[in-house]
Amino acid sequence: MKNLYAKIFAVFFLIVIAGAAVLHFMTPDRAYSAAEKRNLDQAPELSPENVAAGVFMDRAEGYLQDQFPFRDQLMQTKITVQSTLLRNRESQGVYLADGMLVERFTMPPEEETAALLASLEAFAARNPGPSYSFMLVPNAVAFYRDRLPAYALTDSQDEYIDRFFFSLPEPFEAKDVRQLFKAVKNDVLLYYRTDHHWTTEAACIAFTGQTEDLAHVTVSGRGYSAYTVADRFYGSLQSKSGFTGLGPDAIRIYLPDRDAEPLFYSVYYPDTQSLESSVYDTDKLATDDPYQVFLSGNHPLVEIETSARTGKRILVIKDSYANAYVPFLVPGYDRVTVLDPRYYYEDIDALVKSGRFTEVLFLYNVNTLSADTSLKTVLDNRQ
Amino acid sequence: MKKILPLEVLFVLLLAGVMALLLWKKEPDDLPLTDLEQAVLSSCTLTGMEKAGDMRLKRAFGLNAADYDSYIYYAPDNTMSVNELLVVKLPDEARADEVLAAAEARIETQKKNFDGYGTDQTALLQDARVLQEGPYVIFAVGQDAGRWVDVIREKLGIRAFPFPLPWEDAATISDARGGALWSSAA
Amino acid sequence: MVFSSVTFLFLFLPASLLLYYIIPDIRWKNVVLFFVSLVFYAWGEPVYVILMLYSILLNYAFGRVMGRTQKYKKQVLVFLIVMNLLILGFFKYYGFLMDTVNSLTGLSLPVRQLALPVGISFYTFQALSYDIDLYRGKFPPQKNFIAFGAYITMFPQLIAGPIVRYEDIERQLTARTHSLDGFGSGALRFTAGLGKKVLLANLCGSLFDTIQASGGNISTATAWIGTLAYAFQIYFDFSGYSDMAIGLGECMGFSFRENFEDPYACVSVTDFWRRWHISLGTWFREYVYIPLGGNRVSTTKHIRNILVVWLLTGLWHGASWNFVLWGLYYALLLILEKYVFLKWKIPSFIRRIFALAFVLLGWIIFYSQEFPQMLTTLAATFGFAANGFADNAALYYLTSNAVLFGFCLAFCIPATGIFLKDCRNHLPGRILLAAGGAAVLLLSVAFMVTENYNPFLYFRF
Repeated sequence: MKNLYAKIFAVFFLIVIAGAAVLHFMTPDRAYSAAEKRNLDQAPELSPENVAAGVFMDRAEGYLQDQFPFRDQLMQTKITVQSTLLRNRESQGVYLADGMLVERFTMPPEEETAALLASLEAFAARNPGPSYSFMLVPNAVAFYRDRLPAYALTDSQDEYIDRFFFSLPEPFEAKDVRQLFKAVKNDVLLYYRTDHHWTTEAACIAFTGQTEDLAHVTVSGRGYSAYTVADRFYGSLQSKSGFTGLGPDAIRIYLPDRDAEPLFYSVYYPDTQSLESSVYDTDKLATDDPYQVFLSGNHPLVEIETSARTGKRILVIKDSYANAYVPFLVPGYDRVTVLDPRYYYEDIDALVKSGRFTEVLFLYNVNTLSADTSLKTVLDNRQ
Repeated sequence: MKKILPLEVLFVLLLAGVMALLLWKKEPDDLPLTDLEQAVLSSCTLTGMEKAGDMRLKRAFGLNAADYDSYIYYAPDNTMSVNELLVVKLPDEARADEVLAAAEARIETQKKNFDGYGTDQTALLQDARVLQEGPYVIFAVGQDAGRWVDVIREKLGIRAFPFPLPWEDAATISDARGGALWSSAA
Repeated sequence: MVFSSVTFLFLFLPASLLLYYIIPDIRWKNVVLFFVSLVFYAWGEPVYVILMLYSILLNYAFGRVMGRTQKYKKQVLVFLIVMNLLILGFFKYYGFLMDTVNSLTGLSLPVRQLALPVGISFYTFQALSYDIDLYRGKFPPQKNFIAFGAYITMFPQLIAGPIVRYEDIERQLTARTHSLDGFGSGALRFTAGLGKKVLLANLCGSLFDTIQASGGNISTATAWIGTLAYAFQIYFDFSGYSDMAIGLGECMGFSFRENFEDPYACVSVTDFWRRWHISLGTWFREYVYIPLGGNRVSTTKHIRNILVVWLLTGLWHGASWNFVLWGLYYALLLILEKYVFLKWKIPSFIRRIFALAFVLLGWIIFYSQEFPQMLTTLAATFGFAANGFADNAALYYLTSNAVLFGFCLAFCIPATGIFLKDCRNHLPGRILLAAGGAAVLLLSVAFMVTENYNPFLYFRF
């Protein structure tokens, strides 16, 4: 009788290891995890070559982990234990701050920044004509240090932006939104609580310079109003860190008022060869990344032609932050071409020449720019 | 002693044999990359790929063509394809790490690019082959990546064991080496 | 294969246990054990399993030869020792030797990079313990190849110990009892080890890596926090692994000796080494120290004996100069303690603090791969740090890991072990053990299934 506890535990142990094993093989494999927003490893091929080379064994663990039964619930348990019991509020470089998730910033090496600035200068020199500007947008970590866990470690984005703008080559105009944001950082939700992107309101502030009454704005003489199109948005930072519990975010877009002068435009995506009539892809609202409602997510190139008749054409070279900003540009230009260097393989100089752009705008957020390698490669455009 | 000494000698020889087996690694033949390219093209079809030059090499891998002896690069020919074949011949085997690292980084970048919507592509990337054989670094992604690698390794004359394994086609081996080394009565 | 992996716990273990328990006869159980252990080893090292099979054949064959001759016993023993050490030496130390030769002579002979066969230090030492004790006549040679093979390869202790001496296990190979509560006790022990590894060691390791990444850019406080994190990591990693090995052994009717006895509760460095990696210390004492004369010789020879044993102990841990230095560091301390310190009258509390300080500084030598880095860290711990005494980073590391360190500390003190052992004697305690075990198991699974970081520090042995 006195060893009953051992017998009970023996049975429990066997149930856990055998039960999970059986469940694992009986439940079908998932291809994609909505919670982690990534494709899950699939079963490695059991072939003699794979076994002899050790490839099968290496991949087996990844597969078994990714397809484990109740994986999402187990992840939740782990995160809860880590953040509440162990009071560790950092996971994968993301802090569980007061009411929001904030990604930590790591200052890149100086040589990298200097090299990028040199490439920008060379690019502008090869393509004189358009006016150049660079908008470098800070992330949440630049404004909400006070909400981070005690003594949280992060480098200073202010320092990075200051240095960057100081060394920005001649033709470039520096576009600094920090003062605007600082003024309203406690009144307006500038960044999503669970995602690394800025909100549409923040993009609106950056474009218009207006900081109040953001429900209605005027762009190029037309009135626009904000509408909520998604209210169950759980963003990238939640997927990356695993921290849940911060309420869903809402995504808003600006649509022209009924009495506004009509504007016609077409949106063409060369990579999928699809032609749309709106910069907003509402099909994406039902997916687990509704942020893709802006410009249908990530494409190497997006070509927008409008009926604006302003004589101005702009090329925007960007990361995903600009997706929420581009809709504000559309009414003011005849052509808006949007380029994402991460996916772009063609000849950028040829593009600039053929597009006859009057303006070239670089729009990046600090975290992405500091870790990016594709911009420089595309700008260098070596044959 | 009469029976012990020969037994000891036997075991010493056996150890030598085991160590030879574990350490045996034939140096690959020294061939121009065009020969390898021919071998691959003649026995496989490369779908979703096109031959690419310095610019695309740099864009995809961050590698400077001028730093290496020579290279052959077949890049994806459309934005939805991840099929790729890169063979780099190093001027010095010590430089292998940077190419291997660039290949691994390429896999990660491509995985990130297709994350969330390219299940097939991600699967192919997971099975990517990255390996070094002497002065050659081979990187292959695609449905037939294993086959391309096998053809290249056979052309270079590399064998894991000094005899063909049951699943390897003895006839193909003799073709690649320009003559039968062992009979194909496997 | 690593114990704290999904592949082991949910694929290999259930299958192996099923096979093992389906077969009733003990000789066939040994066959199963031998076979699954080979699969276990080959899983991680598909090619080096051949080397291990050779080693088994070598020691088995010549063990039997030794049993049939009286005259040539010594010659056979010498042959076995040479061959075993040749295998170990070549695969483990060839690169180290060539690098040292190259740097000393300025030549640049080509050095082939050899992969270190996992577990070679453990199974070679086990084989040697068999050979030497067989020569000493402690037991007859093992005539059953399977039984002998099972001794060398059995998967609980194959990869990371404890080093099981043949004499401790001889009888168990042919006669052991299996029972449900024995299994439960083993499973509970295994779970404790799993929790130590996955919940405590890995998290401390993560903190340690973060601090290491800062390089020399740390404060004194950070240096100490980092060293403390490492001290916890290596203890929970290694003792956790030993717990899992002992537990798995118990699940199959084997009883192994303890490998750790609350080492951080030591009163002196000498005491530390009676509590840490006991099976290794025992091995060196039995097969090197005592044959050299131990402490029953002149003082000079005694000191020589200590130096030899500790030089080898350091080398055993790794083919790198910092491990040799670490061994010599302890040799020096042990000699000083034996002849100087232990004769002084110092209150026990002060003794403990000094012992721990020496151990922690020892870990700095142990984990520093490069000499300049070792000096920077040591300097920092003594107050000469780049970022002063304490900086913001140190405060962050401390506050975000305070609870973790609390748990680690709790599981280092002897009182906890005593309390848990005592729990077995009364009902509420037994409930606590079973429920606690269940919670630790489930939590460990949660961490394992979602964690990529899982190195085992003693793995390169």
